[in-house]
Amino acid sequence: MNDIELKNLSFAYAKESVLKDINLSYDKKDFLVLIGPNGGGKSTILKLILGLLKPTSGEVKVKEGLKLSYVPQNTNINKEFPMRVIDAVLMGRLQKRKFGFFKSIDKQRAKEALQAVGMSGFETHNIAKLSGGQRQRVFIARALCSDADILLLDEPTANLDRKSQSDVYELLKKLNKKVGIIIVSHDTAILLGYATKIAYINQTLHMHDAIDKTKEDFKSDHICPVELMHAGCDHD
Amino acid sequence: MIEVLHYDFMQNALWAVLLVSIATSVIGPLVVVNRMVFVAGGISHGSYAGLGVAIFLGFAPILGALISALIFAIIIGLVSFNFKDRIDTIIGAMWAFGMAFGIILLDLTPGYNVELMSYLFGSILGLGSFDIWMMGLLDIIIIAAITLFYKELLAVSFDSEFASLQGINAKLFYVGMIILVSFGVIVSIQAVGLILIIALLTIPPFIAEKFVNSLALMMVVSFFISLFFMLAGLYLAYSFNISSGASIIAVASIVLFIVLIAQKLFYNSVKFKRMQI
Repeated sequence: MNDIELKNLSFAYAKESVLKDINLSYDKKDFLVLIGPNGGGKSTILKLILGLLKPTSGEVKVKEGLKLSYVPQNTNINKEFPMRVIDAVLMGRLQKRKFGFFKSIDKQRAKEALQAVGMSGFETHNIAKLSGGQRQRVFIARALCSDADILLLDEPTANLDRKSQSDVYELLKKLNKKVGIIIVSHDTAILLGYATKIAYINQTLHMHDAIDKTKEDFKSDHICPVELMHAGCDHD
Repeated sequence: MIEVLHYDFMQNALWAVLLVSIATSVIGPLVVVNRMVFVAGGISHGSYAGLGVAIFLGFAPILGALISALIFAIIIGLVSFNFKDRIDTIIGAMWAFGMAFGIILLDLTPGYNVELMSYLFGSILGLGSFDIWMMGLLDIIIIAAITLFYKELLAVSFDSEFASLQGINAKLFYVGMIILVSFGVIVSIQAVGLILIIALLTIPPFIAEKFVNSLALMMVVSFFISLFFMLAGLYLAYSFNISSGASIIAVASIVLFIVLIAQKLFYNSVKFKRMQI
């Protein structure tokens, strides 16, 4: 069995169908990017895989013993919340019915995770005062230190400038040597440089192998040529 | 001022200042970061129903208030999961119902001419030792709960979706948090009244938030701020023979005003320096 399998998965809010008959096999060596229009169901797929939503029909299978973790949309954070970086990362060490204070091993792991994303030294900074790109790294560290095997990221580069975007992608590519990456993105620039698999989602799912397909294929299918040019420039 | 400290009622009042400061400074930051001020308002006004029942039936008002606050807390918790879009409307209805029901019962209580004002602004000088013990007990429960569940409450407040992915029962902790809010309200209600509760739950954390970067520190700083507000307010009330609740709020509001202006000036000067560089 693959690490994650979606079989004939459908989902509807009330009577409005969001996803129809989705089939997907994912292996954690892949860097999978989910693209598609707004409201097409990309984020819904992430939440179904994570178990935050229950499918209307079909099933989500995650290989026994694999731990998934989540990096939510950048825009959801409460900017007024007084929260140190280390405390946010330590959320990844939370466990069911382990009450009281965090142990020193938890703090150690949180620091290692910050180091892995290049944010050492920011432990006591207020998370609200970081730049968008730094904050996104902190949330990636939080997901990492939960001992995750696969990270699911929802638009991790929304509202970031181009430089911070490619920094985040480089980091994810590096992490992909050890953990699986599934990422929802609007930003088609990511496709050419980083993805190994691309799924186009608009109620239904079309799978592409990023490496096998040529640019022309994409252009004719789903991608606006202007964005492709941008993407091309970035990696020249 | 010193000789007045020998009286029991004054000693009780000082205990009440300490206990109310503890309760509001632990609960207030949770209320502020979770934007639950309206929830706290609903619980404190709704608990007036329990006060009325207790006085009508002749048992301790604080127990009546505690029971009704608990019931309202649980209702609010359940409604916020199942009927989220109208949660503020339902709290508003409970708010009004509790006040009206409480007042009707007070009206019907034979020979009881309670001063309505004393429950709006509290009667910190009229507390008995049973009240103080009850407040102390509730404070202990609040402190124990926050110590044991601090990291879960922080996680649920900051990002409940991620917390639930880590196996934390976010809904249960949310209801638990509302119940803690109701305990905080009950500790304070007789001593400082409905109106001052809202002031003490919001103003000290709002000031503290500007100087700290963690929820725990926000609680500690809030404690000293509310202690100062209450002692200063009581001193003014005693010196000028004015009502204690209103003078505590006056002190709190003036300090808040000063902090906001100072912050504005400070930020502007920082910006100004940056512009020069």
